[in-house]
Amino acid sequence: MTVLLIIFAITYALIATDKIDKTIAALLGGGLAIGTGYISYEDALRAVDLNVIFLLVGMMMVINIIGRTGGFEWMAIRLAQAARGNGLVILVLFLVATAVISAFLDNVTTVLLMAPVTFLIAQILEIPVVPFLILEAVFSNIGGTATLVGDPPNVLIGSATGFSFNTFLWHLSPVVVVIGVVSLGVVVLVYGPQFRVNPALKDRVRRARPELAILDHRLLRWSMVVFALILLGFFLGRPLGIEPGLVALCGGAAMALVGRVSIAHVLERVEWNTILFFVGLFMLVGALEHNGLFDLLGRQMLSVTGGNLLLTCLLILVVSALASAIVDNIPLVIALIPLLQSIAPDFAQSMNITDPALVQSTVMYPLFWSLALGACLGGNGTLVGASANVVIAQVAARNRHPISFAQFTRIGLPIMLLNIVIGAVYVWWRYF
Amino acid sequence: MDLANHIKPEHIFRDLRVRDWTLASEMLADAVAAGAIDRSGSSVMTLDTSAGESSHRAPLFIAPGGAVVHDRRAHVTDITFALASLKEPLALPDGDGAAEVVLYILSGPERSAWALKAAGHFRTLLAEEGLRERLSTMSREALHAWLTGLDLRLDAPVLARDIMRPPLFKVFADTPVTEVTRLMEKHRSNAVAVVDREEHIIGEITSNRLFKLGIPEFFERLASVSFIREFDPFEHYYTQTGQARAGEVMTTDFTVLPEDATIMEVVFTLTVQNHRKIYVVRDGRRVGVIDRVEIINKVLNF
Repeated sequence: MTVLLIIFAITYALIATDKIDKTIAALLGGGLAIGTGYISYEDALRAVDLNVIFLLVGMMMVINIIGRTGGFEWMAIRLAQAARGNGLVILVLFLVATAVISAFLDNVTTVLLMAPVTFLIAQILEIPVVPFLILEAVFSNIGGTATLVGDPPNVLIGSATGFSFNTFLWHLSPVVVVIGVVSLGVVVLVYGPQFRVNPALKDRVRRARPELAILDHRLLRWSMVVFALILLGFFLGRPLGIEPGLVALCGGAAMALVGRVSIAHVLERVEWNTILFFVGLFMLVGALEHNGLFDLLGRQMLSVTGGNLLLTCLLILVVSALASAIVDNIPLVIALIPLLQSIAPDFAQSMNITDPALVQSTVMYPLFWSLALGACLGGNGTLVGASANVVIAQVAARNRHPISFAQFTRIGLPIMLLNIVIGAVYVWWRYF
Repeated sequence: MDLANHIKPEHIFRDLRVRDWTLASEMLADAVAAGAIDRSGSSVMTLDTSAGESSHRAPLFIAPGGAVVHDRRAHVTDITFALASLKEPLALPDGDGAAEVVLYILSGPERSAWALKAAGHFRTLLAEEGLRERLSTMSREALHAWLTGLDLRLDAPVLARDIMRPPLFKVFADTPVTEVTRLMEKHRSNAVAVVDREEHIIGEITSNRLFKLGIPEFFERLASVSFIREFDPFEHYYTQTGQARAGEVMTTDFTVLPEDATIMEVVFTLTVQNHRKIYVVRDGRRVGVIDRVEIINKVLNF
């Protein structure tokens, strides 16, 4: 077990410090765990959650197809026109759009799609682009918290627990709406003066012709139809026994078919390094679970919190938020899920609950929503806390507007702390 | 299969008086066919029309001061040459300067590789063996004897040095980018090597690179920009690029091949490895360039 823990610690350290590519670190970590005999190859394969893998691959295919239609550019310029070129209104509308899109698409992809049009609009209206981009990353992380498919931690939690898309929506979206509205209020108060636009420049937006942004009307129409069907599949899937992974994968294939897009080209753009990163981590954490580490850690956690569920939830929320602000939240959640699954029966037993439905609503929900809120929202704390932050910083640097760690933290950390407080109040108010 | 075996002493001319390239190639064609040009510079016979229409007789710049006219005819089975120095230099098309020495090649389609090889030999003779001076000082017979003594095999493999063209201009690390773009536009070049004073290549500037230097990266990520009707920030975008010097904007990702690289290597490098331009070097110094269009043109038209 000691050797396995060393492998785990080194792998996570390499992932956290970016000393080597995180996919390579995860795959070598997983491979070593199998090679040293801590888990059989068959068990390691079983530990790989194909539902998560399929969901990620499928949604990457979907985004790839939608991205080439010009629909995002159309939406952005329509929003700018709806705001009549008012910088602050544009900021608010873009942040709301980012949050809503992030709820249904991967955060990284959302900011990658929003960043170019944000740059363009910011240059046209001569408004500061750096705070705009930072806030987009922050709001993509907020929006992504709302649904099962919005952020990888939720994908992982949903697959591991069996919570449906609707369950996520019912339990997380209300608090995300509150968090979003409160955060927007803060943004308006703090950043309003920076986003004033010279009236002469507003004409540039007024004279834009959004209809010209759409490159392929047919593809856009069909991709929207299929995307709506995918969302319907998410809503109805679990009751029908159809997992989100299957819905996304088949949705991506169907979109390529009806859109007449080469499936080979679509698959080329899937981020296979991310997919294999997940595979490696699943195998490594599977080895730890296989060897009973999480039972052990679970008992330790219970002894710290004295078996108090509220205290345990708040501990999970705060610890996962602080940890996510510093390290990648994906490996954190992959490691914490089996931990929470191991302590849930203990709480149920201590509360004399045996009905599975009651165990779920009384014990599982507060535990896992705390983890989801902490892991997703905690990423806003620093520049390296979430993939979307890192990606937006890379895009900004490539466009001669570097975002420093301090710049991001000044904006992200206060919003993250505010959000965590709101999340904690929500968990306490709704589940205790 | 030596070049000298396919050129007779009477096909070597000095101070030929011609007004344009059409006349020059017609005269040399007739001379090769008839074996003579009279003293006034007029041909005495014309090429037998049964040899078929010429498919390509435009002069091709081959080295400073020299051009090749390749007269390819459908029914010609062998290859024959004529060599002439011109009384007055003739301007080459495409702004490649003027030529004072011309190699005329009459061949059939089956001898294209030999023609290409002959053009390569001609380039070497001009650039390195003082052919122009020898034409003005040596008799026809002496020059022919000199050619016979050289190794000018036509059936040898076509090498990079046979198909390269000489560099048209030089760009140094301290050349302003504004001057680089002016030269690239003048010579219709999409890529240019940056060299030191000894002609060692230290970098490359491509038009694509210059474009990307000015255009912000987000621009490439947009699916379209046609919806913006009133915003043209390019003067602002390119401010920094315009003030830079070649050494600051060049990349070190360029491709060189030795001059004895085979045509197979050249084509492989250009197509499979997807490079746009190859710089041909000798002892690390640039002696020529080959780009995609040139090689396709030479392979198809020679």
